[in-house]
Amino acid sequence: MINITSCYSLVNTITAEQTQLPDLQAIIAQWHPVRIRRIDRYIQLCVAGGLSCVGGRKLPSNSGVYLASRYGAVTTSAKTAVQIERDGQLPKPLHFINTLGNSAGFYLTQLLQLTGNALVISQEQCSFEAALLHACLDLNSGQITTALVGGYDEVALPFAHQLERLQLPADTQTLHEGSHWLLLERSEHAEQPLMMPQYFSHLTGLQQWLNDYPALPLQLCFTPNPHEQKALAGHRWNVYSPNRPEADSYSGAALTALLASAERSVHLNRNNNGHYCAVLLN
Amino acid sequence: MLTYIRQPSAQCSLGDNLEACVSNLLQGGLSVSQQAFNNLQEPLQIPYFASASGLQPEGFYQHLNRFLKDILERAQLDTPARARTALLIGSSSFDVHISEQHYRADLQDRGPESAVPMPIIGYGKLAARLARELGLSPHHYTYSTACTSSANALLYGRRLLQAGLVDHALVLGCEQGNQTSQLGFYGLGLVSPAGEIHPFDTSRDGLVLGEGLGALLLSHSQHTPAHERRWQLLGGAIGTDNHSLTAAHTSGEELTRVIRHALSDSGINTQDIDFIKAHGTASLKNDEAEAAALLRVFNGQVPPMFALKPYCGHTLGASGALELALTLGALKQGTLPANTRLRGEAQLGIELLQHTIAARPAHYLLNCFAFGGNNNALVISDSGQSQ
Repeated sequence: MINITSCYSLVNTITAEQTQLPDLQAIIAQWHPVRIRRIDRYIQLCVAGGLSCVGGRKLPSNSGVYLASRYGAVTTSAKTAVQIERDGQLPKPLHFINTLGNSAGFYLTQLLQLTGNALVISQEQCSFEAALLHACLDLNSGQITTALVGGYDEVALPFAHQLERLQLPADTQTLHEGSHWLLLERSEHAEQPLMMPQYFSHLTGLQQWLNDYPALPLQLCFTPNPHEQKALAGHRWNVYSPNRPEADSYSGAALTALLASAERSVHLNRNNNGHYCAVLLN
Repeated sequence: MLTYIRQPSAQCSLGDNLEACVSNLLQGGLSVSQQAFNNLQEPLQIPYFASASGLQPEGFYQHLNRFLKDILERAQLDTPARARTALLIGSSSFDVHISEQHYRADLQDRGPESAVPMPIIGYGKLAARLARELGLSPHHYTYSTACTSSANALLYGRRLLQAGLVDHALVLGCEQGNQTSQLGFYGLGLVSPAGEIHPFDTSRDGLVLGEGLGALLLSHSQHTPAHERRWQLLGGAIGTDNHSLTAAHTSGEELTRVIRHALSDSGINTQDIDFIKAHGTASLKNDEAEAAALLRVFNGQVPPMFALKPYCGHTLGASGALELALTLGALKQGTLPANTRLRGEAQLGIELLQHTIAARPAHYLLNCFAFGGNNNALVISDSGQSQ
């Protein structure tokens, strides 16, 4: 069985008028007093969330690290593009390195002294679930005994530019950055057991699966359309933070919030292809 | 459960299809061009292994669709089989070349204050689009671990099959020429001034980047026709070396660990490895680290090795899948590639094959290492013929 040992979630609301982002170094400093130099916002989100979830525990060095991001290091990638295309300069070496998908993981694994499996995975709206699935694959097969799963995405400023990238209305007033984490362990006696995420191509498949869990409440990371509402009619369900304009890696926020409910429940997400992902939390 | 590797496909500077690539590879042909960056304040030229087809950015998505569709058709995967097929894409740049193009146009249209740099974002968009167009399963994942991206995709394709979540896994490594990667590597001082890649050689002075596509279909043994049961992906491993962001530790300690783990995952011993496809970037520290690790793992008796980057360049996130496809293409032609262009004395205690040799049924170790300390080793077996 897979046990959820710890979870952590950080969400910052960023408004259209905001020019300064909330301080993340203070969160990092709780676990690592020496200031880490030259890390960008995206890396800070990863390190702040990861260290907070681990909470000072000493993990086995071969623990797996499964990082999820929908959009990657947007701020630094944009800076690099400006240096090249607008300014006609070579990109600064550190900026270039920090555009790479796994640079954030480098800092986190270094701080946690981990030398095992490390991945950066993405699957649009279901990126967090994708990372979770990969962690479950390795835990279930016995490759590892401990896995750290994290999903994080930043709000790249200027705000108006980020709205264009996300194809959101120009009058959108808030966006959210976040960092959401689970520490998982393989265990004979799991207090908070987690099942491997289940994927479904169609609503029918999801419906059939849900029929096995008729009494369980469902938390949706999407606003259901009429077909979906009909399919879910026999279940208790609610939509996680329905007012959020864009759910980046926030399915991680939804899942960690659901864990706090201490009730046996199902986390449901959907991507643009109309595929569903369900996570059963016992 | 056995994992078979089928339908290796490749496009790179060596050719527009696997047969052309391998033919050029075995003849020792290579085509390095000079890419001009005239938009810089101080214009410069950087050597580059550009794709033979000269792919235009606007055709990128359609081109990938055709490339993968061709594999599915050759493997005769019908609609139900495709619905049980995962898509795993590894890249370090995805469609950043298109994002760069849009920003360039935006700078012209709206000016520097309003133009949005990096307008296209979303690592997973490409996989979602291709999975939708090709009717593939909901298991479509994108891996972004720099140069190990598609090697990691291969490993997890196998693990998805092992877990019974899918019957097939279509793995794509893709890397298209873009300014960020080329100028980024140049700025780090890692590009060979001579425009040649000489791994493990005294004359090595850096790498040359390249673009390319490599794709393979992994299939569960029950879903592999007998005539395609020749190559197996036996296993592999991923390890983390967080000594430095841009180079492996020259002691080779962490690379040793990942190679040993890969052998153990594959259920074989060091003496079972017959040949090695080296990562071989020809950068000073990485070659030193890889050599140290191989000498440790094989106790000084390193099996015959070859490196493919001298012929196709370092294709970054595509290199894991592309170099596996090229290796299988060479095996299909019955010949192992050699590195005949090496100059000077081999150093570091190991050397690459100087002459092509006949392939035989064997186990191969394939190394792939990345920035950020992400390292991958895979083990394949070649039975020499299909059943």
